[in-house]
Amino acid sequence: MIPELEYASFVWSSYGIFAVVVAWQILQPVLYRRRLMAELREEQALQSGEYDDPNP
Amino acid sequence: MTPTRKKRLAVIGLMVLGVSTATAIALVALNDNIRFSIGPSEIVAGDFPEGRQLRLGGLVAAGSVSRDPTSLLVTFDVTDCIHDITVNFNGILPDLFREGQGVIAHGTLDANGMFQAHEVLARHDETYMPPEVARAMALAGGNEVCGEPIEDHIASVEAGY
Amino acid sequence: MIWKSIKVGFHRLGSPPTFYRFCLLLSPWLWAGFAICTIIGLYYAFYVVPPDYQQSDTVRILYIHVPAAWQAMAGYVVMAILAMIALVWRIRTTEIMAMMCAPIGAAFTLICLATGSIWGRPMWGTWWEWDARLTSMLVLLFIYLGIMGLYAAFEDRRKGARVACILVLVGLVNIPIIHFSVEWWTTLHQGKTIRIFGESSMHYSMMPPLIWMTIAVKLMFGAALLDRSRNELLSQDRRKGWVAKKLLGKGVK
Repeated sequence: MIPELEYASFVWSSYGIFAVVVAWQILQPVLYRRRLMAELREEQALQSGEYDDPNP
Repeated sequence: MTPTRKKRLAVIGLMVLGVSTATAIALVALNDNIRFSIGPSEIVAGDFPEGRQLRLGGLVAAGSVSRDPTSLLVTFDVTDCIHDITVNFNGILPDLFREGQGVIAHGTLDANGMFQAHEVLARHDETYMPPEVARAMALAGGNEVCGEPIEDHIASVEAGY
Repeated sequence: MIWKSIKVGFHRLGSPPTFYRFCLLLSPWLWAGFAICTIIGLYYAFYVVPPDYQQSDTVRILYIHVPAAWQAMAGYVVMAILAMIALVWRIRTTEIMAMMCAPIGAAFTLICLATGSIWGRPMWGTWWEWDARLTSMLVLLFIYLGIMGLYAAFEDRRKGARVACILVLVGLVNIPIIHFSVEWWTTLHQGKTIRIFGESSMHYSMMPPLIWMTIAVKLMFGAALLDRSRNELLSQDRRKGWVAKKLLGKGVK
């Protein structure tokens, strides 16, 4: 299934770097978005007086 | 387009033009330093002092490669089809190195006009093809360096994969 | 009629809520296209194309190196066009899109440099040399990073975007230098293989994965750009009515 290659370590490490960088490009906006939404909800709750303070 | 926008566009246009002009002048002035290597003819013609670090670029001449059987010592001629420079190198050659290949040798000229390299890099000639196609081309006699046929090209093509 | 509706469509994209919805709707399709093209491209790259007569299997590195290099440069051109529009027309969604091109472009430049270095070790015999092509590509990475840094350095995002957009246009001069470096100077890096006009010096049997991967990274650039722009818009407009309405309503997806 996995092709046998000459210079296999060079080829696979190249594709590995590609995969890691692409995965980072997908994940970074998703993670940032989660943090942002949490922040926005909190701000809105503070404004509307529905804020449930975890440390009263 | 409103006059303000036209003005902004003009300012941007002038800025890009200015930056391009300045860069172009700088690059032309630095031309000799940006070049990665010099050819054999320039070494023959120019008076590069003995012992100065140079990068010599050209093709490995047909039938010129001789390897010392007991060490890593290798001698070959680098040619631009007008002049040849003999290169001595003691070390590991890159995998693309073969007769007819573009190479860049980094080192110094000695008193006898021989080039003593401490590093040899191979250039890739930007052609890509499967081994069968390369073999067919070699069999059809399409392989030569400066008009000199590469005798063992089929062997080296086959050794290459 | 068609031209008019295209024009109206573009004007509407200047409105933050419409732009937000546009990003939300289009991005999954681009990601799906990217996934499909990548799977086809990788299948060709590993199971269909033959090894090269000189480079053996290291030629397969080219199928990510070259598309990444092209995208790093094409992404810069896209960013420069957006920056020009942003500076002249002061459309905020264009400013945001121009700024969000930089991290994605930097990622592709990094892929290009890293894979090139890995290929260079066995083939050229060196990880890195300061020739014109390699150096100008490294400069591109620093320009991308500089744009990101400059944008982040300003408290006022719009001011930051405007200053960084000027840097984008200054850095544009590097793109023709990268492209022509292998023709203007002797370099270690090989010259052009793929030509749009004239014959390419690559055997046709080795082309399909290159084409598929090129399309794939273009779609990925678009998808990542929309995702990042949507986030940035939301972050900038956090105190605006349309964001509150979205949060109060069925919730922002």
